[in-house]
Amino acid sequence: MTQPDLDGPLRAAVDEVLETMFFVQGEGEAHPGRGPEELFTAQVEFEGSPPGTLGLRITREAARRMAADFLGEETWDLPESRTLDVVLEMANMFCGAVLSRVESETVFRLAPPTVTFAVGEVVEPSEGASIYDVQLSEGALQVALRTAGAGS
Amino acid sequence: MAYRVLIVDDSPAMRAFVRRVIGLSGFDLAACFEASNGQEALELLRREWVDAILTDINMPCMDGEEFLRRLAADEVFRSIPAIVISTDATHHRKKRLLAIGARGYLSKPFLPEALRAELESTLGVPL
Repeated sequence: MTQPDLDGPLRAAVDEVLETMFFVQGEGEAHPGRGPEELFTAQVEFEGSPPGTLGLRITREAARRMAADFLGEETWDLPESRTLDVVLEMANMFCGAVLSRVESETVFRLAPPTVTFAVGEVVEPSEGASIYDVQLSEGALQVALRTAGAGS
Repeated sequence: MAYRVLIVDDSPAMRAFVRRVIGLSGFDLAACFEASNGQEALELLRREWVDAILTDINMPCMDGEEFLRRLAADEVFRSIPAIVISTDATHHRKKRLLAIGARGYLSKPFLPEALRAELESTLGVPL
């Protein structure tokens, strides 16, 4: 599997998870982290053929809105820890959905998702990653998938 | 008839979502219990009877595969139908989990209707 093969599956997987589990649709391309907005970021490492990492960055307000909708709660009543729980689960679902599309003949295993950086810290995605930027009604989301050996 | 369901997942967000979706789907729910891994689930099952189990696979302490094996090895628990909810939608994973005792398999993402259909099908709820 070459890295460019992941662009289409990544987009399809992210769109499907957003629509099915979060009841939202992207509103075009966006670039979270290029402006002054605060971000939540998460990462999932996976073993497979090949292994790799999925990274997620989402603007704070978009994360709070999506977490509230996912849990059926109000944004004003939602502790930040619960928003982070949802962001971690979102990363897990994106990763599983894209790998199920591209690794159907092999066994893959996801490590538990982790928060990778503090809120507000901006990190550029690594070179060689497949990246999908999504504009949401209350912010932006970026999902980057990098497999071992890509971009090197 | 209303049913008692156990949700096993290490993600509190996912447990809350599944609980909410079961309610939204119109499934007839009498009680809903939660556990964050297979070990907790087994301890809960010694105290509470449930009609169906919805379980994740990747969990700390005791993962979903081991949990399914323990259920299958127990004379009482083996009669409780367990449905796997997982991000892994690959054919070989489904086949393996069904072989060790899962009665159903639902891959994330899923619609509320799909969860209800899987529960009702597994429980033999008449249409």
